[in-house]
Amino acid sequence: MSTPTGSQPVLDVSRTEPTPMTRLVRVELRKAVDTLASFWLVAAIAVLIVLVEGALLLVVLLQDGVSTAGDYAVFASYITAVVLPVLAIMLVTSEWTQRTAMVTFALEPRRSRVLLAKYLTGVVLTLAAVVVAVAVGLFCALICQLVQPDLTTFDLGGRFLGGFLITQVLAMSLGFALACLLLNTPAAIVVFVIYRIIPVSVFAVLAGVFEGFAEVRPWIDFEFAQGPLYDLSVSGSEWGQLLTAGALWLGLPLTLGVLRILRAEVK
Amino acid sequence: MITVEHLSRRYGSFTAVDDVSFTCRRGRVTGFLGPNGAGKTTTMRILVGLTSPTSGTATIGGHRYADIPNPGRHVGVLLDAGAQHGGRTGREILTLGAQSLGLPSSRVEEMLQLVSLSGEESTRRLRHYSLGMKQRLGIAHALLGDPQVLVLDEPANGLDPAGIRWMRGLLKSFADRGGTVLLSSHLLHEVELIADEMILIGRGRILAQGDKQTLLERNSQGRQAVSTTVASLDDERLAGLLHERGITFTRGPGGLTAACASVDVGRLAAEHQLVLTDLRSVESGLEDLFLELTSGAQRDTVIQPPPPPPPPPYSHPGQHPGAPR
Repeated sequence: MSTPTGSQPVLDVSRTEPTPMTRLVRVELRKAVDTLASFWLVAAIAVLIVLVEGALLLVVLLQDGVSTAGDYAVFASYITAVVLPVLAIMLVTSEWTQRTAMVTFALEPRRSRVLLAKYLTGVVLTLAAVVVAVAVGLFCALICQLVQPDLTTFDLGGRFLGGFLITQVLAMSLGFALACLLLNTPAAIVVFVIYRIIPVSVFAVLAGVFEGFAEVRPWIDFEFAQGPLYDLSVSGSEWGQLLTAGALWLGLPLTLGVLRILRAEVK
Repeated sequence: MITVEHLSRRYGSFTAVDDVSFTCRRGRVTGFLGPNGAGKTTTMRILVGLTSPTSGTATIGGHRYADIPNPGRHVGVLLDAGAQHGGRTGREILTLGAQSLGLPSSRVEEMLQLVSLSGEESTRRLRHYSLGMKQRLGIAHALLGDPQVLVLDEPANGLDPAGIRWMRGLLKSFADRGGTVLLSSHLLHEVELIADEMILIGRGRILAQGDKQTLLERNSQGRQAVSTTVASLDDERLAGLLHERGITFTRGPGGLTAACASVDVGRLAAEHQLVLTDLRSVESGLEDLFLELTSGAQRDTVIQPPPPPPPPPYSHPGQHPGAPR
């Protein structure tokens, strides 16, 4: 503490470094996995992966099937894909349902930085999930390689995994956006699921009934627009469609959600 | 160190905090006292940036809280000891705090020791903590960054008498080292025990502030004069003498209560060579002042102060500064 310049004592903050973003992300990563709920979520996924991949291996080996490391990686990533948005949702909502936001925002009052750290944590977790999927794929391929070397390759299908990573980040972002908007775990998860099912079916029906709608659909149907992303074959107007549909279904809720948190009274 | 100026917060037509101004000085423990819903918590939340004010400013050491880099290193905050994840252990909660602040994990052990949470307790999950344990953990969390200012909302809530004494010692030594403490309570008793200065708030407005002595003096005008309880070897004769002097009195189980200063009763007894066995001045304590001020605020009108209560037959063995002397 410095001595007062006027009558008012002054807090000397000149030698205090602001909290770096890397540290915020590290703390958020720890928060994402240090509770019972998140532990069981991750544990359930691990068990599921072992069961599914085990069954897959068994079938392939018993039937002398052809397989690549990519095949196994794809299954593992489908399983983690279910959980990633949920983890991203809990990253945000648990601060409100458990009221830890009071502590978090007291330690870092620049709320936008906390939100960015949480989002980056979601991205890191998504990357980790892909790494796990690749590791599982390679491991399973190694077992096949030992038993039936002629029928196995270590091809990972890089294109697919790249596309998978991008669409997963988008799905995670959507979970994040809805969590910010609703600030309630069950509500955010339910709306997330509805969000991914209902619009697609409605758009499909509309496109079937009105011929003209098929033209409009790629521009407003986010799931549809993401189609070319899965094998990284996006081109020309498809980028524009991704942009408009993404702005509508992801950008809008994300903006509203972030604004809500920045302005909310933290109780 | 803490400066709040013309702070107001309105929710629709309801005014939670109404033009509140006060300062907290270095080296002092300032108690923020008021009934539930008086605006204490809202004021403290505005102070640390969790709620935005409708008008007015609140600064700590000349800075808005949001402008302080890594604020946990300067201001320790405990607004709600229950506002922690119930599924985390006490140790994990402190570890997260220490990591956020960029502190080594040895700091966690130091803090656990400081608030006397044992190794076994620190590995229990928060949802299994008693309120007193949560408060201790909250204090430890607030002190993690070795701050110069503490902002504590109802920190003594849930503590047993030994715990309150512990907290008094802790906060006093913090203030003696040059720290600034603002703590709130709805219990006068707690604030009296812990705080050097008091700010009384009711219905969002500051009713009075200052140390205990100034508070009593400033508000003594217009209040009923002090009364005196007295017992003697011959209370009948004393009653007669008081009556002669025109001093009103009431009879109690242990003697008489006269509406005058103790010196008047003593002089009267000396003049008539009457042996007194007990002579005590009954001041209207802080509690009356507190109730008076807050009830006035609650009804939004100035009411007549109640007459001083008769002295309790038995006062606490521990030093209770608010008890009638």
